[in-house]
Amino acid sequence: MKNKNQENKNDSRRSFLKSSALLGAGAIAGAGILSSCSNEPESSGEKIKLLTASGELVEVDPSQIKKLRKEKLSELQERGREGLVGHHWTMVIDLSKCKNARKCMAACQGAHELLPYQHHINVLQMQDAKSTSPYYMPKPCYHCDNPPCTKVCPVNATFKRKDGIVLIDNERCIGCRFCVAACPYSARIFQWHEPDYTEEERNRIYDIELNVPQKKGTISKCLFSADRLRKGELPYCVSACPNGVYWFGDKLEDAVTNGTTKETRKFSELIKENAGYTYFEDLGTKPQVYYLPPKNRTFDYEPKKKFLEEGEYPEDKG
Amino acid sequence: MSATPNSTSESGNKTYEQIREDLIRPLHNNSFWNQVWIRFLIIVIVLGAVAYGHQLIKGLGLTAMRDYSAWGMYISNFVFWVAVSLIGSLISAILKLLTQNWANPISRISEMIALGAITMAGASIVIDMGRPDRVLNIPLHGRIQSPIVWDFFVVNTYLVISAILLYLPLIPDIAILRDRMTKAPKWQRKIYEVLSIGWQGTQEQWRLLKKSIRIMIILILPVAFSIHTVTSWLFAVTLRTGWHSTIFGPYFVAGAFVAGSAAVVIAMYVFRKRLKLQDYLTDHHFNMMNKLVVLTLLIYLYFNINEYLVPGYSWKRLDGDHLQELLMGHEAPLFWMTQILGMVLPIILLLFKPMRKPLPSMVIALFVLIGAWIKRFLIVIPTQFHPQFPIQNVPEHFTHYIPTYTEIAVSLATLAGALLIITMLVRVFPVVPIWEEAHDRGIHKIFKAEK
Amino acid sequence: MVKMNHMKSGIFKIGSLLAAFLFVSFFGFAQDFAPWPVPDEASVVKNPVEANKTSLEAGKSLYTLQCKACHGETGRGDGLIKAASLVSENFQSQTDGAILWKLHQGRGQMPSFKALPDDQLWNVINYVRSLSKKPEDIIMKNAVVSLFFNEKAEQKELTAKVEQVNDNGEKLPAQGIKVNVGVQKYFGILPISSTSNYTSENGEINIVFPNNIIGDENGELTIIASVDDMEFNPARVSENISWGQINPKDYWSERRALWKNNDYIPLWLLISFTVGAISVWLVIMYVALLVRKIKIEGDKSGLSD
Repeated sequence: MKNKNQENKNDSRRSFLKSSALLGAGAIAGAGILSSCSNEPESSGEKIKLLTASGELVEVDPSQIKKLRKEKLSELQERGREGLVGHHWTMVIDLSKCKNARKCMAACQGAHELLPYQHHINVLQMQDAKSTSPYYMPKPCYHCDNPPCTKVCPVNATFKRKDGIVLIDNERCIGCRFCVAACPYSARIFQWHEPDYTEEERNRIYDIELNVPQKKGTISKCLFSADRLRKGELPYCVSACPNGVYWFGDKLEDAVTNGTTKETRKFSELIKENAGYTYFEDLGTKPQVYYLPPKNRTFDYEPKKKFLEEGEYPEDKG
Repeated sequence: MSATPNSTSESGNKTYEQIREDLIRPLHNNSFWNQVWIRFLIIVIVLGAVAYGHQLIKGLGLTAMRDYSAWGMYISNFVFWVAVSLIGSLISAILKLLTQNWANPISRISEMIALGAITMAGASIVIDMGRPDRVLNIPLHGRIQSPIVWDFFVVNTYLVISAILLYLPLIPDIAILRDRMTKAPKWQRKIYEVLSIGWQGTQEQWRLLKKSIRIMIILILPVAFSIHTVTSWLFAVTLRTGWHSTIFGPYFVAGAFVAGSAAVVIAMYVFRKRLKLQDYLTDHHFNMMNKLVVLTLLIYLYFNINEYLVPGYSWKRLDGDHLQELLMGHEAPLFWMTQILGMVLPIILLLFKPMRKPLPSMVIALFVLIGAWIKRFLIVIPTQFHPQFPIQNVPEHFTHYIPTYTEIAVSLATLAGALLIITMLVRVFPVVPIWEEAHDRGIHKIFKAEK
Repeated sequence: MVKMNHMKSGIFKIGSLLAAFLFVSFFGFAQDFAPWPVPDEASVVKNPVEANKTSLEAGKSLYTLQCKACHGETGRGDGLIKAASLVSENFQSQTDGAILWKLHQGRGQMPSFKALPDDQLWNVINYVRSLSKKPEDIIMKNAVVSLFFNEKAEQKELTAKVEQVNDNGEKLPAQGIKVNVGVQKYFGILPISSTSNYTSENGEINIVFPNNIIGDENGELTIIASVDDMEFNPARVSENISWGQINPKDYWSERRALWKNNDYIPLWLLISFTVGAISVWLVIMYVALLVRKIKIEGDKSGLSD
């Protein structure tokens, strides 16, 4: 239906919660109970009644839920750190198609539970020189092959996976923000405030591939929607674009698919035909996001002064 | 720089007993103003702790740091404290190895400052962390590739070395205090008892002590240079304009000696006045110390010219933007004030001997020290507003950085913390080494413990 | 289900916006667009292209590429953004000329398609007209498609054969049927080009298979052929064959690099850091030992006094 992103997001969350009946129950019904019970001694012998996702009522020991949560977390961490081995994800952004509709930003912020001014992907209004034509440029994380950010991380909380994605682990991050300082592309954001979650939402099991729930004092950034890739789906931003700006795929199998038209093309051909390039190659970061030049544009450039008016930032008054 | 102290003419006729009593006297003197000072520092620290507690609960959102200026005042404080702490190595190690004996009476001051500063450098980095509860992740999951891990290691090592280097030359003095300070409170006597480790002043003990000190003053040099070089690498290893500079290591080290020397001049002035040490911290010491300040300033000036002239000449895209802002734009008043009042003018003024007298030189040193702090602020912050891509689609206040009250309160608390550490050390230990002072005045008796 | 209404107002805004879309798509089919007046001289332009099968199929292809994202698969305006319904009476009451004019102009979120040749746009218009027809109007036929591989010397040839299945189970070669042949990739099917997508009189299309398609680690490819014809129910076949280039699947090399974790730390760094750290601390230990000796010495001489 219309709200594809919303639905996908809910889908992912739903399947995520269902992944284990008991665990699902723990996450849905037990999160609140859990927090209230966490102070009790583990061998209380007390049972908690939980409704499983399949509708059965079961009795479990509170410590059981805790253990399962831990197991689930470490399982997610493990596969999240390993990545989808045998792939090398890449994105191609066709600047001639972008009209600054910002559906990508909205879909991304919805999926990763970000505020309107927190950007994993940011559509910039660019003009390379006074005499040159301005254009819109969506800027996600470039998932560099020589990433300056993961180089400097002191605790391996941001790392490059075997499929090329630069991921973050907010169960590990110490919040030193060295990676923010090191990234020349301003791809990283920091959770300066406590995210406005309910107790229940905050207690969800941390999904490293979605970076949700967001955590105060840690980093967030574009993850190429690692959770969607695992399911064989295109990233949130890619599938939300109405104008065919984004191509996404696996460089190793030399194929990229357009998120709007679902057309699949050879990556090498697409880049060759359209003179694709990456930004600031001279920095030696080897970005994995390619751009096609803004030639023969579908839309005219209309400058937009402000993203949001001042005072529309609900949390951050500075 | 001459090794012959002209102070001998003023007070060279003091006996060992006089020297000893002069230097121990301040320890008996727990004056009203001293009490007020300590209480004042504690209040500042408590206020800072409250602000920090608030920050812990609410998050770093209470600071003015945001996604573009992700590092702010806390990191510049950290760099500043690391810089100041380097003075311990300059005076006690470098000058000692160069047999600049005039500096012996101020070596302990510099070591106390070093200890206070390095402690606060460590505190500053924890204060800046978004998740200080996970600080143990650094030793647990440390990636050796990260300069933060190097910094973590080297700050802790330097802290230990500074403490040892402060302690070793103190041993004979502590033994004197153990024997003389019989009226001190019990806890104080206990400290002397334990820390004097049974010092009897035997020949063997002297041999071992001198050997230990010699090893430490050599060891502290590479560690001191690493600590500030690594700190500069936190910036220099990034691909950011204004940071990504090959001379950042020596540039920071030179700047550190400036800041530390200025801090020593101020401390010398305060101790001379408050502890009535005019006979020990003489005009000669101020004269020599300020010559050292000029020397370090000149080296620092040289690096400054390198640091700004080269990118300013080639005017690359982002370097140009950054320097435009720094030299002619928004940051220019602060920048030029720092460069002129904190560096150029002090060099010129200190070339004149009257300016190297205690009071004028202390005032100049204050300017130099404040300038040194602002300079670090100007190194850390403006660069972050010149990323490769334009800053767009964020609230207006993301595009500038003005510290909040929380940051100021916490920063002042670190300053008070360093001062409190120094104050407490001065309360308990003589600020001028007794045995060294006597030795330098030609009293060549080996100090046997007096029973 | 985790409720979303606690989220930040921005997310809430997006949510409510989406809810609004949902509402509109169910009950109003997005009718709240401002009128888009068309000049009379444009309205009277006649559609020169006959709405035959070829035109409709060509129109469908182009519609899928350029229009579907917003106007939706069935033209109800239920795509990724708020778009006009193409099946509404309001829309269908216009002349073909008026639609062409709008395609040329573009408005708001809708781009101008002036760059495309008019006959292609007429095909799309024909296809859009067909969208409002009721599905019962067409009786769908059944077909099966099969794949044959032929490798001679240097050349690899692929044949897709379509046979119509009659009610009595009889199979006959079907001519003039559009068949899409492609290779399965992670997110979609990469089309393999051929001169004609339409089957010959013996129900076949022949494709010279390109050599530069990347397969899996053994060079194996999944080839998919599907019938894409308005008169036929969807039919599809997929076969595996090792005609591809070998995919090393090893973009991640095990080399040591600065950005790797400690398992792949560069040796020079590991050695210099460890050696430096250990030697400094050995010296500190040694000094601690000397201090201990001072103490022992003190105790000794204290006793002898």
